[in-house]
Amino acid sequence: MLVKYFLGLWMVLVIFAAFLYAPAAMGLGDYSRIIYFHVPMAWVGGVAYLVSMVYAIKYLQSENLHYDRLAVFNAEIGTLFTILATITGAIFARVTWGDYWNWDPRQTSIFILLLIYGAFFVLRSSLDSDGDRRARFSAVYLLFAFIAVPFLVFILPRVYASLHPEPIINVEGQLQMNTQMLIVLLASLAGFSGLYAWINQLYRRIVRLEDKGGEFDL
Amino acid sequence: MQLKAREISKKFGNNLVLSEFNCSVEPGSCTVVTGPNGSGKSTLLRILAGLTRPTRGNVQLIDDEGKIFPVREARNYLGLVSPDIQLYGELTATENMLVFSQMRGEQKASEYFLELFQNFDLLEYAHALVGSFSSGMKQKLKIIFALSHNPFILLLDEPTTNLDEVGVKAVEEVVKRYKEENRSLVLTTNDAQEAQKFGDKVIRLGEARSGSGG
Amino acid sequence: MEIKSSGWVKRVAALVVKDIKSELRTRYALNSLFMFALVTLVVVSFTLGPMGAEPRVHAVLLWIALFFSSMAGISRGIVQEVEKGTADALRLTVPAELVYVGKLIFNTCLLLIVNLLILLFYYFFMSPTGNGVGGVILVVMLGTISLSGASTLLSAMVARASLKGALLPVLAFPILLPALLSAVEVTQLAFKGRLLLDWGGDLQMLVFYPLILITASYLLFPLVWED
Repeated sequence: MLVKYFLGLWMVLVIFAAFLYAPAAMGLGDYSRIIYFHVPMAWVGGVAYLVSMVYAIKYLQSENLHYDRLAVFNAEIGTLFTILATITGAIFARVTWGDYWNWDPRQTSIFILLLIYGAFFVLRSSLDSDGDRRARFSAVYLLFAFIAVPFLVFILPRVYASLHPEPIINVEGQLQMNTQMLIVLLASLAGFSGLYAWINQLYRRIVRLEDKGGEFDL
Repeated sequence: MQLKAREISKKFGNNLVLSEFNCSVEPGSCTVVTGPNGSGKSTLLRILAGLTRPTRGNVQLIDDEGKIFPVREARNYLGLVSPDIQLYGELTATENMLVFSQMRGEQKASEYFLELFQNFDLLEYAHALVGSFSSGMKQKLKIIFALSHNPFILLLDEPTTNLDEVGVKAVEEVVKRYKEENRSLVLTTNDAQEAQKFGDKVIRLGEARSGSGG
Repeated sequence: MEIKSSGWVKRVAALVVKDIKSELRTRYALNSLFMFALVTLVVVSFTLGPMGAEPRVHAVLLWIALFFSSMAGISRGIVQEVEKGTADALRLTVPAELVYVGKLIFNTCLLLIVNLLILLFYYFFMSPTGNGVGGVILVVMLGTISLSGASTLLSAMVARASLKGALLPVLAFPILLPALLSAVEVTQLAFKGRLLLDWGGDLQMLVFYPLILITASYLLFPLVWED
């Protein structure tokens, strides 16, 4: 109960800090502030995918459609955050590099995630008739599509030169960020993750209430 | 070899087609399953054959030494005749039999099937494309397909559909032979007379819960 | 498991031979794919006009044609079995894993033939400059293995869905993108004749990615093939 107030306060602080506390980056200036939102959104988009996959595996093991619902819900959240991340990223791209879209490897990665989510929903809508089969196929697709993800997230940006600002925690484990900026970024990451967890919890409560026999009118 | 269905339930969406069905098929017997359309006869046979997975329960085969096989590892011991099954229209009858036989890892020559064709009066069509067959001929070929690997347990879903006299007689011969050889059969039919004629044991499935399935 | 290690090769071979025989008799895939590829290439060639193009552009156009033709071609395999109703007979005869291997082999062979034909026509219509033909052929073959490696599993899913033809490229594209990107890079190099000199991550990707795709497909296939 208190969690949501705490979360709300935290996010407000994060927003303030993003604009006031963290210094402007060299070169990029105030535009750099977008990373405090863009990065966590992309992060949640990716985590949501992993969570969906976990539920997908659970469905395959148990054949309980409850897990299918959870997998779909997390995919929906993931899609939302990925879209937000893509948009914020595109805004950043426009103001710094000149174009909304340049097929920079990291942009490509996030776009692929969006395509995977999209394909997932298209697959489900074309299998409307059979709940079990739809759940099973969705689960298989989620798992199969995951193969592409490590390649796109890790390998591609290393192989191709990227327009993205130097990755913060790259493979060598070096941190290359001003401490203040890092604090705000981590705080924002935590905040967004908390937001994600909270949304999930709300949904589970809704499901429980619905199962007890109510139609839920939001 | 014994076939055992344990607590089989099958649900399609919200439609409960089979509920806690149990039966044991003993060697040398013919079990007939009857019931109105939509009562789940075809679904039951598919589950017994391992084609459809039950929502609950399982199907097992137990050999003479007591070794238990889940149905999906026992393909070679089962044969199924069903309206759902189709054979390759672009291949001839003989080619169809040969290709399935080879896929099972057998090494039969085409002569093996000629006898089966003979019994069902299909010999002259042995080298005709299945796509050109009438529905009665296709039905005969489906029965031959199910018999071709000499399964211990034969599952027949409305086997006499579309069959002429020769075909029906051939099916009766098969039932007789199976019982004599101490193998078993499960047969579905809508026809009460047929049920009496063939079956040692008759199981009646309940009323249909909806118009679909069966 | 009922598969005996010595017997499965013959069983899979029987399935593949059957598919080849059926295909030769009906020629569905070869005919329609051939026309599809031809039309695609004509459109591309027409729009490009008499102007030449850089190797990179050729690489991209070639792989667009290859990708879409392959998507059209895969539907010959498993989708047909399900549509025609022969899938049940297969399920009664052969375990899911063997079906996968057989269909994978058939799809790969079919796509190799079709894609190499497309490559031939590409050279005819577009006359890309550069003398690296051998390299281009190699890359097309490697890429084709990825294409069939991903699509065979997906075609089993698509077979039970509506909108089959349109659904397959949608499902396949995100998964194939890493392979396609690498393929375009390497094809571009190959056109310039510099393939072997610049062996880099991309060529390795084209060799290893399909292996991962195929392994995952093999493991997941029973879930979408059996009822």
